[in-house]
This record gives sequence, C-alpha cells and structure tokens, in this order.
Amino acid sequence: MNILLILGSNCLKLFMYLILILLFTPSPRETNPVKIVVNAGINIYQKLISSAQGDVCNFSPSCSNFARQSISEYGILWGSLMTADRLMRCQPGAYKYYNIYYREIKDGRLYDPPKNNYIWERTPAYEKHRAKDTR
Amino acid sequence: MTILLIVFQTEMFQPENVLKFAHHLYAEEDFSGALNEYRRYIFIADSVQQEIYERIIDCLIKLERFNEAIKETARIDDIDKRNYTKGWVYFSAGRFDSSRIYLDLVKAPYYISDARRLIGLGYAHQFNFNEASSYILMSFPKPKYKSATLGGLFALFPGGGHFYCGRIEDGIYSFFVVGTASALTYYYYNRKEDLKFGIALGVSILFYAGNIYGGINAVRNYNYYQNLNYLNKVIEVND
Repeated sequence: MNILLILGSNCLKLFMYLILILLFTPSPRETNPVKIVVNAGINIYQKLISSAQGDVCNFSPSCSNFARQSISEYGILWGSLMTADRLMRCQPGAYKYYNIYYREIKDGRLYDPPKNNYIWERTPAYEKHRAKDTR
Repeated sequence: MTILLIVFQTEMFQPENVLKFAHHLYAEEDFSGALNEYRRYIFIADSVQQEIYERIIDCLIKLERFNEAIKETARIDDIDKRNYTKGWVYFSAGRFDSSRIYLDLVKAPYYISDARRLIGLGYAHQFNFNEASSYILMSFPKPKYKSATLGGLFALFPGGGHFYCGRIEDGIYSFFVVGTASALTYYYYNRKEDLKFGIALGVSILFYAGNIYGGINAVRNYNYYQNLNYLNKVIEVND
C-alpha cells in the first residue's frame, strides 16, 4: 500500500513536470529532446524569474536569449560553454570594454551575439575581412 | 494651358537639363535619384561621355548594388580604366581577392599607383599585413598578438585567461563565480547532502570549463581587435 502511494505521488510529480515542460515548450521546430528541455528551462526562467527581476542584463541579446541562440546554433556542449562564459562576463564592469572588445550598441546595451563568441569560427566581421571570394 | 504644359515639359526633359539635375542630385548625395536621372540621360541623349558611366558606377557603389556596378563597367572603353574600376567595385564590396585579379591587370601609369594602393589595402583588410607592406606605407610597428594556448593554460586558474588579455574585471568576476561554486560544492560535500553536492559539482564544472573557454575566446577577441586597430591606422595613413 505504501509502495503504491509513493509510486502514485512520484507519477503525479512527473506528470506535473511534463505539463510544465509542454506549457513552456516553444513551437515544435526543435526535435532534439535535450534542446527542447533546455529551451523549456530557459522559458520557465524568463517567464517566472526574469520577469520579476526586470531588464538587468548588460548585453544584447540578454544572457538567457544568448543561451537559447548559442545552444540552438552550436549545440549543447559549445552552447553551454559559451553561456557559462557569457554569465561570467555579464557584470557592471563590462561597459568599460566598450570600443575595445564590444564595438556596437544595440537596444542601449553592449551588442554581443553568439556568432562573436564561437572560437571555432571567425566572427562575421572577421569573415568579411578574410573572405575568399569568387568572381 | 496644354500647350504651355507641353512646352515646359519639353524644356524640362532636354538632355542637358536632365544631366544638370542628375549632377545636382549626386552632389546632394541622393544617389538613388541621381542614378535614375543619369540613366534617363543615357536614354535620351545622342552621345554619352565616359564620365557619366563612371558616375553611374559610383552611385551603384554608394547604394551597395555591387553586381549591377560590375555589369556597368562593361561600358567603359579604356581597358585599364575598366580593370581599375572593376577592381575598385570589388574592393568596395569587400571581395578583395577578386579586386586583386583585376587590379593586377592595370598597366597604365595613370592608374597603377592607385591600383597598387588598393591591392595593399585589400591585403590589409584581410589582415595580411606582410603582403600589404609591399604595396602601401606601413611604417608603424606590427600588432602584438597573444597566444591562445597560453590563454587556455592561464585559464586553468579561474580568471587567468582574462587577466592575460588585460580584462581585469572579467577575470575577477570569473574567479569569484568559479570560487563560489567550488566553495558550495565543498560545503555540501562536507554536509553529505548528495543531491545538492551533485548539482553544485555540475555547476562548478560547467563554470570552470566555461572559464577556460572564455580565456581562449578572450585571446581570440584580443588578437582580432589588435588587427582591427592596426587596419584602421593603415587606412588612416593610406586613404
């Protein structure tokens, strides 16, 4: 009887988590289940915690959107590393590096997209300088 | 009234007046309008000077319609001028390898110095400063780069990669984040709270790996902006 009760309550918890994930999951363009879970987690953070905290990020896109974009573009591993690096750079002293490491301002914040932080590719601006072109 | 209208319209659409209007729009930097007027002039004029085609190409470059500008270069009679203009269009489009192909073909003494300058600037834009120095003046010292390997090695100490690149605040913040996560991990390990220890350990590992990644990324960005600053100096001197 006890075992049944424990199983029942665990199933209920699992069911509630699944409902939450489904509620906050974006439209079904993503098929990778890990990315779906990660996106759902980011959605939950943005809707519950970030909305209470306000617009405090020093960068554009914000750190949560940076995480979403970097994971969807570059995969879980590199996206997570880029996100961890971004979280450690998102501090008030970041504005000191305007015109040194961050050259653009977008939405009143330092513009720092994922494409400028992927170490295996040169930045698009760098690509413009280095592009091998055809006639 | 109709006769007056026809007379005035005829007066307005005289080729010389269209050309004057086109020049005015060009001087006012309304390149889209100027382009239309120059093309209208070509349509109604009996003969067209080569300068008009050059103006059209210039308008297309300013409007960033580079493929059309390339097509217009076919109307230039002088071969050296055509090659130089094509090279200039490709250079403006950021296609430096293609620009070099045409600029290398320029032989006329009138254009060769400008062609060499553009070739040098093209190499500089591609951060190939060694080649660029053969074509343009670069009398200031070359940029100093940092090593990505060293950046990664320094980053084994939290924040070390950022300190190596002169990003002190980023380094301090990284140190505190990784340090705090590690301290929490140790705290939960001591209290034998396995779940919290596991979560804290995962977060610590993630931030530590992110710190190493950030150290290498900081070096990469440092080198890129060294190149960019040097390029801006080169353009300032040679433009």
